Amino acid sequence: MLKRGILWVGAMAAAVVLVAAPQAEAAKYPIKPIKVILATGAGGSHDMHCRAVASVIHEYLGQPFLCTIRGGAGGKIGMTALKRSKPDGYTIALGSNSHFGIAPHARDMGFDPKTDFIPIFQVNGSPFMLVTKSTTPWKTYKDLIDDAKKRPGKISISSNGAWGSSHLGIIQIMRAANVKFKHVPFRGGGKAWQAMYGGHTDLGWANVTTGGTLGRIKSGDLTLIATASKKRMPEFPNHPTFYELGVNYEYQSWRVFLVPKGVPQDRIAILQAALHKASKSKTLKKLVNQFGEKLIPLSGPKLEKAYLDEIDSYGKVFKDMGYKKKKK
Amino acid sequence: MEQVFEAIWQAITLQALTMVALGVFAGITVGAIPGLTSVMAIAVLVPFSFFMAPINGIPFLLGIHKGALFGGSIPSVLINTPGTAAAAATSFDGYPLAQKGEAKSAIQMALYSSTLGDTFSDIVLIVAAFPLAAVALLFGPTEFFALMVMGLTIISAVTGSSVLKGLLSMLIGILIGLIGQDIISGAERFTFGIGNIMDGVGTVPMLIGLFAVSEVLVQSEKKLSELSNKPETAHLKGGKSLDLKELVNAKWTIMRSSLIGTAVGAIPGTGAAIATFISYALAKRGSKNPEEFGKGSYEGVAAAEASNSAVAGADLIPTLAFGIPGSASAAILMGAFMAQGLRPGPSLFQEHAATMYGIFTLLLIGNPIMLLQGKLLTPLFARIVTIRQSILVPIILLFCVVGGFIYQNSIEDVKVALLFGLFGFGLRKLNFPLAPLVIAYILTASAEESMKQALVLSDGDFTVFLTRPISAFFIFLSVALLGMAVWKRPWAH
Repeated sequence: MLKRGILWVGAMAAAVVLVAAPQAEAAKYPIKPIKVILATGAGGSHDMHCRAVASVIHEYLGQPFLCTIRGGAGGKIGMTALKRSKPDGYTIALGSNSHFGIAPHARDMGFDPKTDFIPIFQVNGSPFMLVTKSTTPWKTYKDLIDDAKKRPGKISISSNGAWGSSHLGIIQIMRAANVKFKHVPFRGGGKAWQAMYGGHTDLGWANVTTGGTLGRIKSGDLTLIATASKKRMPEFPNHPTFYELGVNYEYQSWRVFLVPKGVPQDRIAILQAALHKASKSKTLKKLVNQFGEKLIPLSGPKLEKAYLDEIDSYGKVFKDMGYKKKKK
Repeated sequence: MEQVFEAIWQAITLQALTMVALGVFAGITVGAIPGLTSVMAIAVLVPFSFFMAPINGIPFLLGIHKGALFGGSIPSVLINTPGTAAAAATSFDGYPLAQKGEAKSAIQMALYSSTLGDTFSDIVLIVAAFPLAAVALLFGPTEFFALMVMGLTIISAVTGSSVLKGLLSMLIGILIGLIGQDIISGAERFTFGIGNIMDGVGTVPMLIGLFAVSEVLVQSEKKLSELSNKPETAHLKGGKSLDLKELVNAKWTIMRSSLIGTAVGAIPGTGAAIATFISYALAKRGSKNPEEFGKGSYEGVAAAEASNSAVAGADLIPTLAFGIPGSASAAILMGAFMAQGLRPGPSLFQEHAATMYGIFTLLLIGNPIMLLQGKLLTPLFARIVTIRQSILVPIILLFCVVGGFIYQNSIEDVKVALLFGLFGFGLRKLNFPLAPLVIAYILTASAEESMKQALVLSDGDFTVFLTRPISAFFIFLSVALLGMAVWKRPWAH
């Protein structure tokens, strides 16, 4: 096992030497490591996935990925850095839909996701779930709504931030069921989950990995109210989606590699081929499974359509709410 | 039980010990370079652990986590540049000690108290992770706010000679702390559209500016001939070794600070800084020589370092018990655990008992390893104070610029650092103490956030802070501490 670690160190060292060496031929791609911008924080699921992919990609690409965290300002810093980077295929990003799908509708992000970026490869995505501790009285969505009608504004739900992905879910439920909840925003999904699990808010949002939610629902520690997925989740075939309940809300933490507009098509193809090969590698599959996720590789027109649909659907949500975008 | 010993015995291999030692060394180095944080180091090195056995890979990362907390004290003491918010309190006394020519003993004090604090919290982690984590969950927004209020009361202990200037300095800190997005409405306040301060002014660039850049400016006022001479204390070659008496004197301080660090560290999301500040204030109140605090007190260094290292072990309590990482480094460490199939939660110790006890054994062994490495490295580091200022000052400025940049790979943060350098210089010229500003700035953001969340939950009812028992306890304690300060005023003129 240690030997592989040493090999890895060797590969990194070789990469460093390569960067330092004068770059003669530019025709061949890639001839130097590829920088992957992460507009999310260190240690989050995007970071872990990037590093998991990076741990195998050199075998298929001939060059390593260097995961670079450029978090802050709700994704603005990292994503504008991607926009400004040279479109030569040496700077890409592992994007999150809260940055390219939601944030641009809420405020000025300094980029237009439709014209500035191209999605090249989907790693996977995991849907949000509305959960509550099993000690609360609600077992189903109907229980919750009936109670909320009796006590408007008394039941609290924590979210990962104002006008962020889970706040939208709360708004959509309130609109669909004509009820009022107490919305308590936190900085990040982890803290919001913690408030729910500590009993400080009544409900909260999670994906399968947040605080080991998958196992907690199965063991009966948490009650799953509904999932924000397109179809019922294979892990929870007996739990409804929000669509089924008449709530227009879908959100998954989406992990998609993006390139800035202008990267030559042949270079994109090389990256895609390597990523597809990597996603078949046993090592990567095992690593991602250990996180509690699965690889769902996707590229090409299907992904591009999904990307544009995602942006438009949140645009519609904000429009329906009558939200006025903040200029600066 | 036999199984546990078997597991422990198997864990202690040459390979595993080497990995821990490497990790600790990497951690100390990273901590000692201003601007580099253990979060970055662990994030970059996590993939290495994917390909090692859990018993080698994870202790390697834990070693970095450990080493960095001690390493952070080195620039705080030597060049007045705390690399993290938690190390800020170390420079309050560490730097004055270094100026007196006692750099070596100051770092050694940091080393011993760091190691003791860390060991203490590691033991608590191993013995009482689950019950402690359950208590930690009782901390909601209301309790967080009360804890932050208690943190703010310590400002009364660091106001310096003029209470008025101390309070003004605190108010400036609060104002700076309010910059950034409002948690409830998402509105941006005082950001002027600058992206880098949308989440608030970066702690690292601000600390670098306020402490180190301002120091460079103070030095640059001196005549060149003065700067070119060897420092007066150079003949001490970094100073004597730590007198055992000092360590014995600080024994209660170290114990108390370790306890506070562990307790606060177990509460996810509180951060090491608050534990450090509370420990520092209590150490001053409990000390026989409170007047030395801020002017070079070994007890001050011990309080700060013991508690910030104690947070390191305690961070892992909610991380492993509930899968709620207590800090950014704990979040990455959790990822590393998960990549090895060690999923946090109650079943972790049942399903993977052998691996977990092995990891814990190595976590504990990391402490004497850190002590040994620290002992060997300290004399080398301490020699920095013998360098003449004309050479050292430009190097410090270079560190400031580079440190500001690597914090977020952004030139904007360098500007923030330089701006705060000028600002800090002005404040120092006017004899304003910097400590109240720093503490107020660090605590304001989370205090405000928790207060607003608590008030949303209580429908705007302020009495909630007094009706919830844990919160009431902290508020009462804060009032008592302030009352005592007014009544005794042992350090006021």
